[in-house]
Amino acid sequence: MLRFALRRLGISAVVLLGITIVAFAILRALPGDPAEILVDPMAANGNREAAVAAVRARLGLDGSYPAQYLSWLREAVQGNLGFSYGDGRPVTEVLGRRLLATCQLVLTSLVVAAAVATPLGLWAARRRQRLADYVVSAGSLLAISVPSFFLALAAIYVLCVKYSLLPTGGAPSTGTVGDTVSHMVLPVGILAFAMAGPLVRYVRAAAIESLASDYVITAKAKGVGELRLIRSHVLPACLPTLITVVAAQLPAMLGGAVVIEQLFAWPGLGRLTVDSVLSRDYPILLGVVLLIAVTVLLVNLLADLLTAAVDTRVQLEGRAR
Amino acid sequence: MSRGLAGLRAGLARPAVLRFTAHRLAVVAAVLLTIVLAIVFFGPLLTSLDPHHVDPSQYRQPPSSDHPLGTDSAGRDVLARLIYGGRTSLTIGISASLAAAVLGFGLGALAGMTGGVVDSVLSRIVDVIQSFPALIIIILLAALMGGSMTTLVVSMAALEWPIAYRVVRTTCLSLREQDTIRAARGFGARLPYLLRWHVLPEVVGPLVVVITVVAAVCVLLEAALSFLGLGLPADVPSWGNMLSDARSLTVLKNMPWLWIPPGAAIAGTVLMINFVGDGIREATDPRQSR
Repeated sequence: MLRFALRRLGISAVVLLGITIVAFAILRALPGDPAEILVDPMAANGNREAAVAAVRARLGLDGSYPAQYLSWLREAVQGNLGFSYGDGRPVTEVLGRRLLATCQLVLTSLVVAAAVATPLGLWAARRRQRLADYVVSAGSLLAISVPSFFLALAAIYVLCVKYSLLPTGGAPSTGTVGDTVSHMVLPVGILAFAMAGPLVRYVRAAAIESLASDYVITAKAKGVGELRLIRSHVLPACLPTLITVVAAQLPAMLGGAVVIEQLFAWPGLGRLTVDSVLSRDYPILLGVVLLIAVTVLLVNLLADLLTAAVDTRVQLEGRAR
Repeated sequence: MSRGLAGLRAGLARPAVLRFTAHRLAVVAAVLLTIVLAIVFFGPLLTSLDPHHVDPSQYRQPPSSDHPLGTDSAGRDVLARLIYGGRTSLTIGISASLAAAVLGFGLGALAGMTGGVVDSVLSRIVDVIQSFPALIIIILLAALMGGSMTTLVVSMAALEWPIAYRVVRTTCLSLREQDTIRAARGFGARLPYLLRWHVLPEVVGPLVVVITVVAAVCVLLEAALSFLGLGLPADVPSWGNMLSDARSLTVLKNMPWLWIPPGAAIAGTVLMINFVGDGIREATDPRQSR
């Protein structure tokens, strides 16, 4: 187990290095010079060139690209991701606060989605090819197909504008439970709905397979009750699928969070990304890419280990990969 | 011999067609999808609607006999923009998914049939691509290369080929060890021949399903990107661009004709694509016939 984890960690480190190189190359190739953007266009006419050059030197943008990358990497390993071009704050500080907001949103949605999708998927599998199955399956397809922002617009229209039940956006500010909940209901509900779609489908498929297997038939023959059958035989068989799908859906969820955060003015990583693209804030963007890569790799590693822990069929040492 | 094989293949294909038509919802979706494609691609030829005609006197007018779906913030006809916008959105979805399928098939077959270092390197690249939120990368690429249709199609294809790759690679890995392939190799068959006559017939069903899934994803990606104002230029008609008007609360509140039609068009079209894909999956997946 430990050897497997270490090996995966080693591969992850190499992948991470590759990602930062590619991200660095893409960002440097973006049109628009941040130094030009930072210096006031009206600044002292004759000296503007000099001012721009000075800013460029201060930001470390005057060296060759490989040299710039290496100096960034040297600092990054020591935990310093540079400073925002916009307001000069340390990137790690900005990212930390935004990451917290995004985690609050995404993790809550994840829990809600799994809590809703698992029973629905099991139910559909149990009532296969009957009305309940058709309704649940069509519903999950609907959740995959409707763009989250259109759903969000419709929800804002009905719940916020027409009946003013909920605030239209923003982060919880007063800190009371009611305020927090009312700010989170819509973004979490919409993200969870989109996430539940694929989850239901995979849980249903795994449960159908499990229901047709010999151990379930044996258990039934022994007279095991319906609830106990699902709880101690079918559900455990679905867990590895559930974990794998949640991990595989994480990138899509972070992508979905970009749109939802923008719409609901949620101060998370997604909004930070959009704002930083528009203002060419390289250090922030590079930090965002690095952070997402680390998160996704860690979650995948964790998912693999969890799957191995709950799935008796997976034997890590013997696995050919 | 070749006619016998073709006849056999047609005979095998028929149950798949029958199984698809037995899936009533998928058939309805396929018919509706065909109608949408016909309207979007041939509609402009039959009418004189102009999605670019700006008329400042017709600023955000509600639906009327002149403009069945009203006008937008530049006084342009919403119905015309809906039809031409569908053309843009679906062209992007279809070309990106076809490009991704071709790329995935080529690289997947290469990895699956040759194995070794090629396979490990390609599979690691796929891991990296799949572990990243496509939307964020496309936002960066669109900012880098400018949000043109070509940029979007190329970056979507570059990010979405791994699904096809995995399907084709897995099939090749299992095919490679089979006696038919060994025999063909023994007779001197080369890779292109093996791909055409042994791999392609095996993966064509799953690959079509992958194309529908990726097309649906790409239509949604374009919509999200343009909605955020980071995709196609604002004057290009596309469903996502039309929806981005609704980011203003005034429009959302008082002008539903500006945002409900494009939103419903995206949701409906993607839903139909997914229903058709599901029907094909059930018709071609051998495990379903149990």
